[in-house]
Amino acid sequence: MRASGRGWAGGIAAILALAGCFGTDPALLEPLAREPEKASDERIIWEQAAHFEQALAASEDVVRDEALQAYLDGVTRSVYARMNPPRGVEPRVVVVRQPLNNASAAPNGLVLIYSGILARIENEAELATLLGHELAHFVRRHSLQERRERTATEKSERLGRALSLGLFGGSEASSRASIEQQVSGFSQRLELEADRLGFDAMRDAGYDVRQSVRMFEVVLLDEEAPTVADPFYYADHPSMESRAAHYRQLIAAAEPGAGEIRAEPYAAATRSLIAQNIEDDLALSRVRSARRGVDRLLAFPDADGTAYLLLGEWHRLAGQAGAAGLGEAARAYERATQLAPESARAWRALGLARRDLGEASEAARALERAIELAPAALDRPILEAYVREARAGGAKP
Amino acid sequence: MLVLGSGARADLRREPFSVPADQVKARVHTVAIRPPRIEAPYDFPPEATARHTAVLQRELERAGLTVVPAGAYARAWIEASARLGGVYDPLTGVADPEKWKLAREHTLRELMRVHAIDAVLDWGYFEAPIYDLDGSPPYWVAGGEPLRIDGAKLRVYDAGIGANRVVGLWAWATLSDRADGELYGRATEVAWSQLRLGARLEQRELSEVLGANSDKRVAHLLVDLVRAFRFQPPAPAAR
Repeated sequence: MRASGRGWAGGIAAILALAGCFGTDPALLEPLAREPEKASDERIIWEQAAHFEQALAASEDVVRDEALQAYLDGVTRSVYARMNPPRGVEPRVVVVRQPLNNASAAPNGLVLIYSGILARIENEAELATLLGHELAHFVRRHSLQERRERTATEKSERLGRALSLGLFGGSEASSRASIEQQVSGFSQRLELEADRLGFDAMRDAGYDVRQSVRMFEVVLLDEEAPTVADPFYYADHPSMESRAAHYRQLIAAAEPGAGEIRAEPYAAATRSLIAQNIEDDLALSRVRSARRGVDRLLAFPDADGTAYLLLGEWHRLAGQAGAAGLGEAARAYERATQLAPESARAWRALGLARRDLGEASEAARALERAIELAPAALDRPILEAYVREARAGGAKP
Repeated sequence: MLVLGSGARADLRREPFSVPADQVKARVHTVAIRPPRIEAPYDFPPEATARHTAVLQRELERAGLTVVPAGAYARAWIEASARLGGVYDPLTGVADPEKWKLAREHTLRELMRVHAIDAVLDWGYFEAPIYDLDGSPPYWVAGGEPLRIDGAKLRVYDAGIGANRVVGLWAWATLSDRADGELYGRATEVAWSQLRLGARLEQRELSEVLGANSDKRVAHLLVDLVRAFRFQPPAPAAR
């Protein structure tokens, strides 16, 4: 994913070390004005990105939610219009079902956003910050700039090694490390530029700039990321703190006034995605993130059966072990069946939880209702066996 | 024979924990072991798999965990899959993915209900190249490191050494939580089983592959888990 373009979480590193670069413009290239010329290096990376985009279109991992897509497209257009965009080139936003905090921009205007980051963002102003950052990578041709920087650095390293005739030692590995260090420094400058331009665009689009910093204070902190140093997907806390400091500087300089936050439209557009992300989080053992999602769903004034079903799932799968957790789960499932009396899944969950708690007759009633609502369920024979067992006095311990 | 001795090469390096180890430690207390999944063209002697199961059980206990033996998992699985009318196609042996998922879900539910497990250890064996000059060599070989197989070093790029393909038995283990989400996972080479030296093919007896040394390799699957679970953070200094 990261290989397709520049990442949001990716490239976030050691910003403090670059404090002297704040405000400097690393633009080595003019902003994108039109589609690249044929046979240019830029055309090559556009075509690579186009192949990737084509493959992505057929992927089951893409979230296909028309209402969400229309909403994201609208915010994207609004932010993009403030970036002096190239003529005839429109960005496309694709949401990928992956419960991690990441987003990236391909050189041809494809912006990929993981469902995990959308489930963590809380309002449209934060979303505009994210989109502004990614769109800045596209408009300022950062993929191309980084590619050229890498090629030039590699050439220079090779020349240096050839001229030294190996007299000064230095292995292939140390040469590679030196290249990575130089390219990484350049990439960090590009990240700062993307921050600044994205920030300006979200401000000009009328959003409350104070919301932008939350992305680094809360959204991108991933306490459930493995403790492996992977700068592409997982940013560590110090770099997040540095990034937040950068945004606080931008906010202070912007003299923030009354911009829009738009929490409600964002919540409405992402409600189903949050529910899906909770299940994806649980499947990846990300129980804290899953719980945050459940709490978000429960905070809706009209919290529905899905919210309570997922609360029950959380208690059963990630809450206290044994009867305590199961009791909580059963109460939540009970509420889910009241709010969504036609949900076979909620009745099934309730029946199985009651069985686990040793409440035989309640288990049988709920399981019978689940079977009635979903007579073709593949595990119907198991549920029927549980009903018989309950009618005969309950499950064996 | 070029390669003698015992002790296979260290396993592939990869962060074994999918979420930070301290979170895993806080959440996992009782673990069910699943019987091994065998994807290797051998008839595994039951005594070898029983010995390895016991090794894993001992390692989990060393980590301070309560272990539910593999028999409990097997019973719950057999009951759930029989009620589903069988999970595997009797002709092809291929699992129906939907049925498999349901049988797994009901198995874990039953283990939670009866034994209050909060995790399950899946593990098994597979046979795969340890090193193959015909394909892309593993990164440690490409990086110029000698290949170590059963304690011997092979500098495979050096002239005169003709080993160009080494196949081995591998073992793997994953620890998953109640939602079946992976918490920890590792694979390791157990021992080499075939060695191609130019036109010559050395093949090892299965009894040798699964010899006493294999116990140490299987135990190695849980090395990071045991280390993390046994680790006690230092107490704050008294004032």
